[in-house]
Amino acid sequence: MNNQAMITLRTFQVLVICLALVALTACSKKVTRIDVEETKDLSGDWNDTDSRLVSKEMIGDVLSRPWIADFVQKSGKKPAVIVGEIRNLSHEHIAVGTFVGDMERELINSGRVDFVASKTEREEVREERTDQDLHASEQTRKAMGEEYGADYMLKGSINTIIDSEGDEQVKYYQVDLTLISLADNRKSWVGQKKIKKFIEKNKLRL
Amino acid sequence: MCLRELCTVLLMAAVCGCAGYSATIRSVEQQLVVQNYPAALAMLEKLYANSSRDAVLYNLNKGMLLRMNGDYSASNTALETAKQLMERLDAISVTEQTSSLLINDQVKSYEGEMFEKLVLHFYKILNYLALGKKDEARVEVLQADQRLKEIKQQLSRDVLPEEAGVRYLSGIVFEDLGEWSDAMIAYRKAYAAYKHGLDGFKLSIPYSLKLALLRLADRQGLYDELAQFTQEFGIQQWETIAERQTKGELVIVVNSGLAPVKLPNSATVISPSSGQLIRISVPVYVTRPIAVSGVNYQVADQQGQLEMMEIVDSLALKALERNMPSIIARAAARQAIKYQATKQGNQENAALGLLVNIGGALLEQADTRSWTTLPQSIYMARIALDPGTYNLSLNIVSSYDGNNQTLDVGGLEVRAGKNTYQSLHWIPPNVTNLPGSPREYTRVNATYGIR
Repeated sequence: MNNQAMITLRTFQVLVICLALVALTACSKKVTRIDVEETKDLSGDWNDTDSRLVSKEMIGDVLSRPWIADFVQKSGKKPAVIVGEIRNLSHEHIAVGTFVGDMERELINSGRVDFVASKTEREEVREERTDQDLHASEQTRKAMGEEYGADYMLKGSINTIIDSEGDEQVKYYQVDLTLISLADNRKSWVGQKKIKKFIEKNKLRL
Repeated sequence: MCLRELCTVLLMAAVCGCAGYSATIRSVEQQLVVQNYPAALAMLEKLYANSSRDAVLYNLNKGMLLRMNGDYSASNTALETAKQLMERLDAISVTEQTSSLLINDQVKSYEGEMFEKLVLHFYKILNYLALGKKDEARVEVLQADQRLKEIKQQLSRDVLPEEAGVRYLSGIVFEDLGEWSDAMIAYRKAYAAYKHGLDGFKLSIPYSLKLALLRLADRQGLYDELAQFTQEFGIQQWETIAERQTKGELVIVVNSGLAPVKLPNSATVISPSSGQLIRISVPVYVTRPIAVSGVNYQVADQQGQLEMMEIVDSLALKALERNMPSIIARAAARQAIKYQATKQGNQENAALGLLVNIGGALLEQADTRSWTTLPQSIYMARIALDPGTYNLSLNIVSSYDGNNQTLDVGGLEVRAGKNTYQSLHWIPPNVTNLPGSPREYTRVNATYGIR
C-alpha cells in the first residue's frame, strides 16, 4: 500500500516537472529565408504556391490560344483588356489580386496585349486629370475623353468543394477565367485550373 | 486539530479572494454599460492579451467589442484569429489534459463551445455585410456550413437547434446575391432548426423566414412545397421575388444585452473517514436580467416590430448542460488523485499531508470562462423599401425600468434588388446586476481523526 502511494506521489512529481519543461521550451523564435518558388504547405489553405500555379497555367494558356491573332487580323491592332470581377465563391478568404496581377504583368510584358486601368484605378486617374485641368500648364495638360476603350473583359471565379470525414479532408479548388468580348459578349477564351489537396489534421498536440 | 480548522478558514478566505474569469471580466462590462468601448477594449487588453490559454476567449471578446465600436474590419481580424486558434485547439492536448487532471480546468486552453463557433461565423458574416463585402460574407457562410457538417458528423445529428440563426442569415446572403437555390436550401435548414428547437430554446419561427420560404418556393417552382408551406403557415399573400426586385431591403439586426456568465458552484467537506478536506467546484450559468422586451422600428411610413432570431441564453445553458458530465468526471478524477497524494504525504509527515491537502483544495477552481460579450438575444427585421435614402428610428422597449430608448440611424441607402444591412448592440445598465455566486456549501465541523 505504502509503495503504491509512493508511486502515485512520484508520478505526480514527474508530471509537474514535465509540464514545467514544456512551458519553458516554448519561448524561442527562429526565422529562415526560403525561395519564393519553394512549396511549403502549412495549414492546407490556399497559399502562394496555389496562386503561382494558377497564374502560370493561365498565362501559358491565354498566350498560346488563337484569340490574339484573330483579333489582330480583324482589327489591325493589339487587343485591350480590362480586369473585371473575379468572384471568390470558395470556402476561404482568398486574395484574388495576386494571380490576376501576375497575369496582367505577363500579358503586358509579352507585348501582345494592352491592359486598361480597372474601374477604381480609372476613378483615381480621372480625379488627377480634373486636377490637371485646373492646375497644370496647357502644354502638359491631358485632355478628358481620350481614354482607351477596352476590347475584352477578364472575368472569373474561384470555387471549392470540400469533403471531410473525421480528421481527413479533401479540398478541391477550381479557378475559371473567361475573356468576354465587350463588342458582342462572345467568350473568346476560357481558362481553367484545378487543384486538389488531401489534408490530415493532427489528433494530438502538446 | 486546531491547526487544521485554522487552515480551513484560511482556505475559504483564499478561495473567495481568487477571482475567476467571470469576476475579472466585470470591469470590462462596467465600461460597456457606459458605452465607453475604447476603455472596455483597453481593459480587456490589460486582463487577457498576454494569456496564451485565454487567447481564443480574448479574441472572441475583442471581436465583439470592436464591432460594438463600429470597427467591423478589425473585429473580423480578431474573430478570424480566434477561429484559427480554435481549429488548432481541435486536437487534444496531452499536457493540458494531464495538468487539468492535477490542477483544474482553468489551466486548459479555452477552446470555445460548439455554439460559440457558429455564432463567430454569424458575426463575421454581419461584419462583412456591414462593410459591403457580400462575397466575403458568402465565404463565411460556406465556412459555417462546413463547420456544421463536421459538428453534425461528430454528434451524428441531422438538425441542430443551434444552427437556426446562422442558417437564416446565410439564406439572406444568398438571396441578396440572387442565388435562389442556395437561398432556398439555407432557409429550409433554418426552418428545420427553428422547428427542432421550439421547445428547448424558447424561440418561435420568424415570420420573415416564413415569407422568405414562400417567396423562394414560388420562384423555384417548388409547388408541392409551396402548398405545404401556405397550409402550415396560414399565409395566403406575400410579395414575390419579381415584385421585390423593384425594391430594396433593409435588414436590421439588434443585439441586446449580454450573454450569461458562469459562476463557480463549490462544495467543501471533510471526509469523516480520513479527515481529508475535499473540495469540488463546478461552473453554473447565471443569466442576466432580461434586457429588452421588444424593439420597434420606424422607417419612412413603415413601422413594426423586430423579431427575435436567436436567444444566446438558451444556447449557452444547453451547451453547459451537455458538458456537465465530463466536467464532473474530471473533478472526480482530480479528487481521487489529490486524495491519494494527501494520504501519501500524511504517511511521511502529517504537516506535509496537510500542505498537500490544503494546496489541492485551493487549486480546485471552477472554469468560469465563456464568451460573455455576446448578446443575450438577437432581434431582426427585414423591411422592403423603395430605392432611396432613409432614416431609421429604433425604439427599444426596456424591460427593467420602463424607460424606452430611442436610437436613430440616418442616411441608410436602399438600392433596388439589393439589401442594406444595419446592426447595433444595445446594453442596458442592469446587465451587471448579477446575483452573487451561489453560497459555497461547507461542512467542516465533522468529527474526524488523522489517519
